[in-house]
Amino acid sequence: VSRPVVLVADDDEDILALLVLRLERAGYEVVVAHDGREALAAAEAQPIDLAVIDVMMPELDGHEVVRRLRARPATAGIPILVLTAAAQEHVAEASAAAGADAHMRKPFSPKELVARLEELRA
Amino acid sequence: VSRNLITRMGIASGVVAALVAAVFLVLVTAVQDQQDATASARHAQTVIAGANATRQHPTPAAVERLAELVKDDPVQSGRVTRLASVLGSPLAGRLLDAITVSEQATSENRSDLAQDKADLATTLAIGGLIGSVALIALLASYLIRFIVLPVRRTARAARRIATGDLTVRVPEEGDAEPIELAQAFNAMADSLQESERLKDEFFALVSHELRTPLTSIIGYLELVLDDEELSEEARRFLEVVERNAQRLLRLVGDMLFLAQVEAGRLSLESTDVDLERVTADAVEAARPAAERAGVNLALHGAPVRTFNGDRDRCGQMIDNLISNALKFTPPDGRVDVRLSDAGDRAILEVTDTGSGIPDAEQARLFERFFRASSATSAAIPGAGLGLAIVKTIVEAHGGRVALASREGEGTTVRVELPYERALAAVA
Repeated sequence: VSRPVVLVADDDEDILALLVLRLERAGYEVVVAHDGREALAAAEAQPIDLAVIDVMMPELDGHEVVRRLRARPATAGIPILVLTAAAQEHVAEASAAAGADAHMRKPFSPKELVARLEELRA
Repeated sequence: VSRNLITRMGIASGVVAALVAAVFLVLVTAVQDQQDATASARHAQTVIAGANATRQHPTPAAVERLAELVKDDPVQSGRVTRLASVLGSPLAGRLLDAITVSEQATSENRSDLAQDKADLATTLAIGGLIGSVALIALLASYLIRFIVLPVRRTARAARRIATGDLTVRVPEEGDAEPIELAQAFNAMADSLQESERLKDEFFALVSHELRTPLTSIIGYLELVLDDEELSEEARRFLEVVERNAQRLLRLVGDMLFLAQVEAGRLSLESTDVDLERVTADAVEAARPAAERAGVNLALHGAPVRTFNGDRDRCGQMIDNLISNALKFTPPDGRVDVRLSDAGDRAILEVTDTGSGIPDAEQARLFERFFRASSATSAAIPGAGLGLAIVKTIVEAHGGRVALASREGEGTTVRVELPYERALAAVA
């Protein structure tokens, strides 16, 4: 059985490394992106099964990335989790409006994040 | 045409005033003429009476009186002069007849002229009156349509802005100054919206910059603490690091919360709040801290009605109350969280057996950054934001918060949250 591929996009290197470490440990194959454009390019380059996208990223923000992923047939139905460090409540609504399945606020517990992804895949 | 309302109103009032003045002038002239005609008729009567008297007693004295009466009229004067020389002859009678007839004719003529003038004046006055009324009606409808209604629209929009709806704009219709008002109003709304957007961006940025490093700290700590081979000592140290990272995170959240409130950006979610459950969750979340502090934390729940409000904010409010109570309660003390139903409102009380707060300081406790002397002297950590946040959240829900404390005995914070409230205040 091939491992599920998760696209992880965040502009902070340390957080990206943390996510990679935790997700690989949980049995995922991780594709990384440092900004919105890279995330979309990565989704074009290979099939992905789910995505973890940060909202505040250079080039393209996370909500726009989610919208574009939803617009592509290959990624229209995959589980997408959005991460945000914003204080405002309406960011959660914006994530849902963009088409994300779940939303977590930073700082997050890596363990909880993995659990949420498992829930979304189920 | 001038676009200035003052000039226009000046011209319009000037026209109406001139029209009214003209009507008055015509009326006054007519009255004057009538008076002149009446005076002339009376004069004619006097002359005719004088002529009759002369006819009956043809004396030079009577002729002299008659001459005095007609001295302003050269024709009649001529007749009277001739009369004096023919007094007593039949010619005198004919002259007196001529004087009487002439006087009557002049009087009638005068009266006819006055009558004609009066008729003309009446017509002019009625016309002027109709004209003035029409002009005033025109002016009123102009005022309503181009001034009053646009101003009223702008006032309504201003009230909407005041309640927080910054998307409202007014049509730039009407005349002169009302158009200027609408344009200025729309420009103001644009810049308000822009500054609101900048504020939002600012909060997002600050929040992002503060939370991103904390995300790494807390995330990596979790990874490290998951390692079972970690030495007991290292684990203890890292747990201290984690607790403090959490404290920093809470502080960041509190500061951003109050900054948003300050900026008028507190937005409550509209959710169903099951206060019993929210309270139970908060008590459970505080249990590890209570155990660490050696304080007995107890929940005395009661069924209360579910109401509309912001569940997370209510949870934050109760968290703050419990964590405050725990902070000020010495080991072996108690913290009791009581929930009760008071008909139209839920009542939440958090009572501790802590150090209490001096009377003089109680009033200031809900101020931002205010810290009780008991807190500073005992080096109890905190930024003095907890109760300010509690008050903000409670009041945003239409409720009230009060504090009762006795030094050395403990403190009770009582929160009342109404089940029904006007959401409009915050939504």
